[in-house]
Amino acid sequence: MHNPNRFFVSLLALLTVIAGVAMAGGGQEDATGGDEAPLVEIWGWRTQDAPVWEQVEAELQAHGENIEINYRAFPPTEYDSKLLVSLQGESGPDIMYTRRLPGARTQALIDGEYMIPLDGQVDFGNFTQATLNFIQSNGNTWGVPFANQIIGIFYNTSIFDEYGFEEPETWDELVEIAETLQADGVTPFFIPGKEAWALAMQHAMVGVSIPGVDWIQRLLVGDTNFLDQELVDLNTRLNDLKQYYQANFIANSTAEQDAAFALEEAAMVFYGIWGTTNWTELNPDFEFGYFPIPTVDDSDPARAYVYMDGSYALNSISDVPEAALTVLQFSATPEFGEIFSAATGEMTAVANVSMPADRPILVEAYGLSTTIAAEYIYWVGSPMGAGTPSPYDILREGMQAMYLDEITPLELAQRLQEGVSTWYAPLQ
Amino acid sequence: MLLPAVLLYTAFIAYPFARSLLLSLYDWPGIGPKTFVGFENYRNVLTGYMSREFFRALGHNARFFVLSWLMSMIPGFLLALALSVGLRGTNILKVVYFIPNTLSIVIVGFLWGLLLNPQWGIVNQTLRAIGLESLTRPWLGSTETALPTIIAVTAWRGMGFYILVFLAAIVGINRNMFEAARIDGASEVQVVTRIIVPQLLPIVSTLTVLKVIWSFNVFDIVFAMTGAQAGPAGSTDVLGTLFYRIAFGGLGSSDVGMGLGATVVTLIFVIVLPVSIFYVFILERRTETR
Amino acid sequence: MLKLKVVQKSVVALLLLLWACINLFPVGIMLVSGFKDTREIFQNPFGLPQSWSLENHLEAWTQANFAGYFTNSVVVTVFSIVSIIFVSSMGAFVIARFRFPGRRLIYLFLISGLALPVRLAIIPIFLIVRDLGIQDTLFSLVVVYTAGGIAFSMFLLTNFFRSIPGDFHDSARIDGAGDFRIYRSIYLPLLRPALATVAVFNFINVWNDFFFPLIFINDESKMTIPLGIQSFFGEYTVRWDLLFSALSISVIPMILFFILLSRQFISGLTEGAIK
Repeated sequence: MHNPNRFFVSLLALLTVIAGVAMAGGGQEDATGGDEAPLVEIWGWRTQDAPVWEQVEAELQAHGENIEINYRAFPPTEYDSKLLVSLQGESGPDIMYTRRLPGARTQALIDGEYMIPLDGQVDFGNFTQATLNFIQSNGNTWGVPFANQIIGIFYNTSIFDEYGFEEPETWDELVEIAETLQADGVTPFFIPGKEAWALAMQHAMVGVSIPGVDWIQRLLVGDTNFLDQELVDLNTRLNDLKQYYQANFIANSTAEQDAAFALEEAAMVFYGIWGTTNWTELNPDFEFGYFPIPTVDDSDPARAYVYMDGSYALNSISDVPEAALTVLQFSATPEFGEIFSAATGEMTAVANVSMPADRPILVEAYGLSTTIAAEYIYWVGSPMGAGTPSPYDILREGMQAMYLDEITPLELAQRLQEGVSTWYAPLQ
Repeated sequence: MLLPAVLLYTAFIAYPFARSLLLSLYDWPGIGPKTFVGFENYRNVLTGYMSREFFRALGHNARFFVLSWLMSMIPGFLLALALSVGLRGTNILKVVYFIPNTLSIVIVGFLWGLLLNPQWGIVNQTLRAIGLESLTRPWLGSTETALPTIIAVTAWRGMGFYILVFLAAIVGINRNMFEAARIDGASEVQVVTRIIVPQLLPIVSTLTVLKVIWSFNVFDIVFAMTGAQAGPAGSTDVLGTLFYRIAFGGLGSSDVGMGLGATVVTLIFVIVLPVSIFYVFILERRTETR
Repeated sequence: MLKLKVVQKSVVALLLLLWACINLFPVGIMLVSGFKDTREIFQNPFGLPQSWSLENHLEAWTQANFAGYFTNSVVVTVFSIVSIIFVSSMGAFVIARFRFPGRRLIYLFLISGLALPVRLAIIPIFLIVRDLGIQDTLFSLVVVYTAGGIAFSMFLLTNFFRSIPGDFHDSARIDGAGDFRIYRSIYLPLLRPALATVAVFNFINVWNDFFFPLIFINDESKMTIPLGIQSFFGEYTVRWDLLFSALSISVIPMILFFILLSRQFISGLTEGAIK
């Protein structure tokens, strides 16, 4: 290899051969396109949905619909760039996954007239109003919701059984459990502190129980604000809880959390129902349960943060709008909901669907998502998410800062108040 | 013969960038209609609500430059010097030292993320095993160590480049100069400080210019190691990640604006351009005087 | 060179070996982890795998359609490198060997591309590619990589040209040779090591890039390896077992290419690509 020119020539020759072989292989696939079934292109950020769309295609064809579906999942961090650029080149998908409202990304797609309101074209009768709120604006419904998520504490059932713990009903009971476990050398909580969003989520999920939805309702209308002692108390409780987290938790990722929890190295995690499929895959024998964040006083019922994860929207420049609409109409039915939940292990956004019986956690969570869902929230899907900075923006950095003792619980409250009040009228 | 380069570069790099930089005068979420806002984005970034984040990130870039200069140049020079002794296996080592350079930054960030894990990561385990328990750190989990850790990983990946460039320069020094110095009674250490180091200064200046350019544009390694939020608590946030967050948002982020993002990039460009200009002129002078 | 005592030499040797280990260890972990299942990766991250079967590698290869990605990556990388070398070496030849007004400005214009984050300009770049009607083709990637590689390659090659004495050029011109012939028959052969240097740097960039394929390519059969690897990262999950094998598969061609060209690459650096 003393001569790079000769090297390149041989490499080129090799390449031509490989390319030739590849094209010969590719040619056979092209030969199958005989009938004129409209191809509905769907883009999303969820790799786990590939089997859903395969089954939907089969189901639609069984119903006599002559439709083909091609689903492509892009990395979640890159999906928005890909979609945005493609739409401007008029080459996007027919159906696109969109994030919930309020949110600048989806709002830009609406403002740019890339999304079509689906009212009157899709039957939304199978969704609760609470779910639809996350994708409606100005009286229009912009997409078909696909999943609801419920967040809270997941626990290792065998550890709880071993120590004879019940699901705690007050915050103090939760702390007591953590105390007992830690004294015995068991890591009570595994927290993925490197991922700022997970800490913001932790704050929000505790917030619906302590101070609770009534307080949040008052916050949203401006009857109280983030400097209220109740919120400082919440921050303090979280900050006091960190002694029960694994050492150096600010350096851990959700991937490490999932492994540690599923491989039974920690008793509890603050997380969402979407994680359960992964835990079962990591350790098929792993048994776990769910409870919402307990309140201060057990006479107050515990609440759960439930939010819609995203929806399917119709691209206004689709060249097969009828076929795409047929797919969307199907995705609003209980039949679709069953396919979705069975394939992904997550909660379909469609109401009154029976969850797969082999996933008891899903059955429980799906029930709770309608009975104890918090009506008032300040994280994703809240009116406070419509501007910058949102509580989410501030909590991401602020929670890490508080956990690292760079700011106090009071200062975290001050950051929230100062940031959000710059644009959120009721707080001004 | 210069034309193909200029044409391709203009069409696919310069022109698109010029158009994008102009976006800094608009309010634009990345799609749909644009609104002309004059210099409002610049106001927001330099003195308005973005200024705290902007100057913090700028400070981190500056720190990135200084620390990564030290972490690359000094060990790079010493290792090159060690290689120049010409022990057996030197040729193999040259190849080995460059291998990390060939890995993508995504892979490098991912692998070092595992090695630096505070609980079972090999870095802390090794420190414990050799009795340096007190030096163990949560590395990426503390506001003090996170940025230096990322810089060290960058230096790890790039070291081969510095070693080879320095080695080439050392080998290129006229041997008679060494002999002459020794005849004058210079020790080996003095040979290094009086002959080798001064001879390397032109190379150091070139590498410094490249370092400035790379340090102010750093993005991928931070994104791979501490994500778009560049945590903990924003302690690794650089202009690149700030731009990414503003221009493309993140999951659940409410703040997206190509115009504001373009403003950040324009400012980066304004910082780096004088350095490039300066470099072109010193290089010209150097070759002319030869 | 430095004259060292035996003890000093052993210290130097030890230091060099230590650094070699620090270099190779993470790469070794990646290769070894490719043989582990997920549980082993977390519970025994730095030990040897229970078995050395290639099961993971085969699954990664078939599940992500790696064979196709591999071909695409090779095609794109090779064509990009060849055209970068061709375009940049001609350009550098002119910049370094001729004096004309605006020369410094053009050079500055070209190397200012070193300082631009590609994500910012992706929308206009994409629109140009679409207007040329080459979107969703491997060719579009080659064109953009060539344009993107010009800045750094010209930077290296111009330096290199400057280090070649001008006498050759003058004597050839007296013999009546045209500029292109001088470039081709006199400089190109002298340039081989520098071209190897440029080839390696561009190989690293092009082979590892996933952003342009992500944006330009819609047809699954035209995707490249880095894009394929992304499919092992889900929204909240990672296919750890397959990820490491896939990474190993993707890294090995790069390392082999480098080793093949290493001698030329190193002498390219030695002879003045950076000065």
